[in-house]
Amino acid sequence: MSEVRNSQPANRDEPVLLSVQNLQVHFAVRGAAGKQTVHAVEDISFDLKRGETLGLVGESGSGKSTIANALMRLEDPTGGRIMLEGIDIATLRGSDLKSVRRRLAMVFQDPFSALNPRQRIGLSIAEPLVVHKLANGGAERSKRVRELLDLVNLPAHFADRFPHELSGGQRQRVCIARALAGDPDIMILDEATASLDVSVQAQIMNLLKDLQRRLGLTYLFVSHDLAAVEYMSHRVLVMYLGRLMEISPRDELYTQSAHPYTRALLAAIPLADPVAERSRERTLLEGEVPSPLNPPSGCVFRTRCPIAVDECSEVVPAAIEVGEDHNSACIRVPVAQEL
Amino acid sequence: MSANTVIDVQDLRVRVGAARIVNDVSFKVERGQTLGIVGESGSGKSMTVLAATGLIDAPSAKVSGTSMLDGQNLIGLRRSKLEKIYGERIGFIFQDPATSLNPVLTLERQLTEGPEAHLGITRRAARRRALDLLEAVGIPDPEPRLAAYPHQLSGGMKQRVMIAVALACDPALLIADEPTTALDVTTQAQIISLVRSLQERLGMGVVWISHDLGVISGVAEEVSVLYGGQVVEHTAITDIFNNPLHPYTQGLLRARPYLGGAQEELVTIPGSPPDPKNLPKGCVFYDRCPVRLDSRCETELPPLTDVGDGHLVRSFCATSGGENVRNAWEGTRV
Repeated sequence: MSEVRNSQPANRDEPVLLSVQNLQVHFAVRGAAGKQTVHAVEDISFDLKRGETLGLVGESGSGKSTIANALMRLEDPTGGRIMLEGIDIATLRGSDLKSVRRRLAMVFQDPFSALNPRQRIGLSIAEPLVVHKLANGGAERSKRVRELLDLVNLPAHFADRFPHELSGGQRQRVCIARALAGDPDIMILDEATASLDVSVQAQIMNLLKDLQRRLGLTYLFVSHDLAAVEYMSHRVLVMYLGRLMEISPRDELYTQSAHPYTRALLAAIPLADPVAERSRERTLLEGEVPSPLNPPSGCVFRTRCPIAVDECSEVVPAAIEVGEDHNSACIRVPVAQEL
Repeated sequence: MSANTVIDVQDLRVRVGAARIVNDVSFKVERGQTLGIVGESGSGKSMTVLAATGLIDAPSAKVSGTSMLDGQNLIGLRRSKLEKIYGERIGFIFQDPATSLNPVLTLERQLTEGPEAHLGITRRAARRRALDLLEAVGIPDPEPRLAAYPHQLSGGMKQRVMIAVALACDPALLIADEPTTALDVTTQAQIISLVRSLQERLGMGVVWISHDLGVISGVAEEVSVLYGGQVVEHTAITDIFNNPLHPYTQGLLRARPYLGGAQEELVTIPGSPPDPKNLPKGCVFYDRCPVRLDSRCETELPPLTDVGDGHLVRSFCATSGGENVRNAWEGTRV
């Protein structure tokens, strides 16, 4: 049983595959109030080690999808570096960017809009093969498509079908097969299981874990669902309003979180046990996430934080080490740990 | 029907053309109690409450059964009578507050319209009431908000306003159809605790529909699990987690990761739910069931059977006392 559950220490010594350093993504918007800046991602740093899954958690507006898009260069970073084995992909252009893009693949939330409705499944899966010239001729291409379908447990004849003939779960398998077509090192899974029904979600999560074991893939698992992240990840990064709150090995995050926001998130999730659920004492966060157009000074979480003090408005807290591989961006870690 | 029963639904069926969407669903809700209805997409959970409250009036849809509220059967009731009942007795909260609020009316109008029409109070009294309601649902500084339009509010705020509108006329029954699904977890927790505290104060009965057993575990006293338009299991909320008897319920519980669950591997239920146009002759779960028995499961529809203390289950496997009953998914692997 335990060998199926992701064992954490196994990945500590793996080499760093992707290193994100001080990533910043700002958007300029023009509105009634003139020109303003959306601070979508601010000073985020993390490493992805080969073969691991890093869970990226946050609520809507936290910037987690922006990070995913920035890694794929679907958005251009306005600052910081994204180092893929020594190459800074944040600034690459043209053919250099194209060749790096083969090594990263993305699976999106909605498998209905991620597939061209007028294109047969086989053609969608083969597209990366064509773009990156990975197959010589039609025969080799269709052979590869069949292999990819098999990899995601779909029968070969699905290549001739159209997306509307498939269920949501089957479509998501197709999207995963397409993502695998370029033989990537890193898969960015942006809420890839969020729109699926519970039983289908389980199928896809198990499939992803299985593929990771077999192909040695590295995942960035972006999700708002802390339970799904716990199931999938080796390490977890928690974001709030564009900033890193806490990053930690999984079990430590779920049992010994050192950040008040992580603690509040965990407290907000309903437990599967009705007796415990009703009797547990918890502090619910009050209020709402502030606007990323005008984030609070100092710690961005301080306006809703149950333990904020005056000092929190003065400086942006640095992510301090609180354990092995475990960092928390809070100046009141000892108090947070008592929450 | 006891004096505390708010709504009593019996043998509800909905057909749309050849599709059998809801098949023989019955439930009761008492004052101050919450019934959770759980199911995946297509299980018929939304159609069940829409039909039970008389909201299905498409000519192609055939609704049968009874749904008694205040001694009146809502099914087949005239539109004008239904409207009176919606205004006075039933409040609705839906998943998407953005589409449920009227975008061109101020909050004040949306909150005063119901009480003026149904409680016969003046606009001034209705305005005072609107302020109280906004306060009750936790909107800080409500006075200036009355002039606001829905687009000026965040998602969580809109959902609070929706709840205020739903409660504007002191309904006896609140229908909540996935009211927190579109919200972030911290907002979801706020809304759940809000509905629970309002229910304690006002004593209404609640039907809470969700695909998420975790949410249901925090809100409901009893739960019905729907599959293929049928109730496959119904029991007290603690029972559903501690002693689930239907193989589908067991699978559903183990297919979802839970916080701190330390699940070794999620159960995956093979296949997909049945097509309502072509429901199996016997047990609706037959095709996907890991412990199905002989031809009886395939050909004979299991009755919803009380196995003690009001724990109802629709499964020959569960009621025949086979060995695998408690743990239908042990050893299955995809």
